[in-house]
Amino acid sequence: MPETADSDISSLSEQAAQWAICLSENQVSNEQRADFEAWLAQDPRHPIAFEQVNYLWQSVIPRKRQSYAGIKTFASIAVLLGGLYGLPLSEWLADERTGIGEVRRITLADGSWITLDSDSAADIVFDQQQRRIILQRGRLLAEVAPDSMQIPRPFVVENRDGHAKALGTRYIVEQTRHDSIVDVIESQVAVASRARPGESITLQAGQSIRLDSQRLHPPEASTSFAASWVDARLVYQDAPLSQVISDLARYRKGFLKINEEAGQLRFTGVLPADNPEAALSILENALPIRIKQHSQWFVWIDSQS
Amino acid sequence: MLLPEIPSLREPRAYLLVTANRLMINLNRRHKVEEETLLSMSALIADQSCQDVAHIAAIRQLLERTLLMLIEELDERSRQAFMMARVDGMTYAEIAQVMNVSESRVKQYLVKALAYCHQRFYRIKADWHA
Repeated sequence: MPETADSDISSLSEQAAQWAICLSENQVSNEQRADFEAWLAQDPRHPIAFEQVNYLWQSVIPRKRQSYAGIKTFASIAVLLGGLYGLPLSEWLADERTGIGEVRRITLADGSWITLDSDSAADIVFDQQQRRIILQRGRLLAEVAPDSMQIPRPFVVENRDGHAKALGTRYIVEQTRHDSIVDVIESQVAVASRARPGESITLQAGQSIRLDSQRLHPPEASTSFAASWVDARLVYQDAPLSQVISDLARYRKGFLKINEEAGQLRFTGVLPADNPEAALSILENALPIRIKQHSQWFVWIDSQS
Repeated sequence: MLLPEIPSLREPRAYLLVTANRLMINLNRRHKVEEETLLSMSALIADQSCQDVAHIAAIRQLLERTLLMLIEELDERSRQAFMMARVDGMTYAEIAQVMNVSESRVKQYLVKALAYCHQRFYRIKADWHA
């Protein structure tokens, strides 16, 4: 780093931090974008400082989108009880999180697996009555093994919006900003919303359902490639580009923004989740868009006009 | 480094002085080790050549823990805002509501926290009181 006055460098950190904080909220106006680009071009130290600051900012992965005291309380009670009564080893509790670009398969105490998608978080709470997975954010695939306990415990994935109880083997639970989606790949799953835990709908393999905390939507046919993200492939059939981009953003560091018009374009095809740069160039070839890449940490997608 | 011998406890004042001296030396050493650790971590981060997922995840976890430690050195409000934004995943508007301040004030707290961490990492002397 070149010799410069302290106050100068101090303001460099601060400016870079200001941009990182400003850009990490969802809406970025054209004016802000232009200002940001001007700032980046102003001084060769600016892009470097921005990259460093942004990396620090994104290195702490939030556990969840919203805080609920309820789940925390439950977890601490479970720990407390475990400590008091010396419960068996089958009783355990863990926080699992994945970073951006990281997809991880986790073996659970009963031999079941969960695969956490990029940028996701889940708590694992096993006790004598239940095998509970609490999805805090993102998406997971559950592959359920039969329980070896004398009285088999149910396997349940729950989140902000409701719960999905396994009646068989493989299914996916995803939490988006507004709602949740359950995709059943094999066997059956009983799904209920948080508001009406008693009124569940049983989904068959190949079905999917959307729910929010208040209600369940009617079940739909699931796409046959719902679990393709596990193999780092993102498969789309006539999907809005805005959705494709928000999926890609989960696998990619830095900012990926799209303007509204381009977001309405439709895409059909396969993208590599483990290579977001290649995915972007596939999109650029397939659709009438322009990708402005200032560096690896700020990409802007515009419609071609 | 050779340290002066500790005088007997019959001279408590001298004993205290020597001990305090040692503490200071240890403290200085500790700061130095800390700075060097942060600096080598920043080098580790800058090295993007490694594409191994497990390795990247390990670095990220180490970095996350370090950041949360650095955040402890900040004032209460900035620390609170940072934890709510990054650990609880709350939006700026939600934080503003909980802290009972404006959203732009929340952003100021966050900028302060983030800039502080950046300066600690890259050994840039901050001058907050300027």
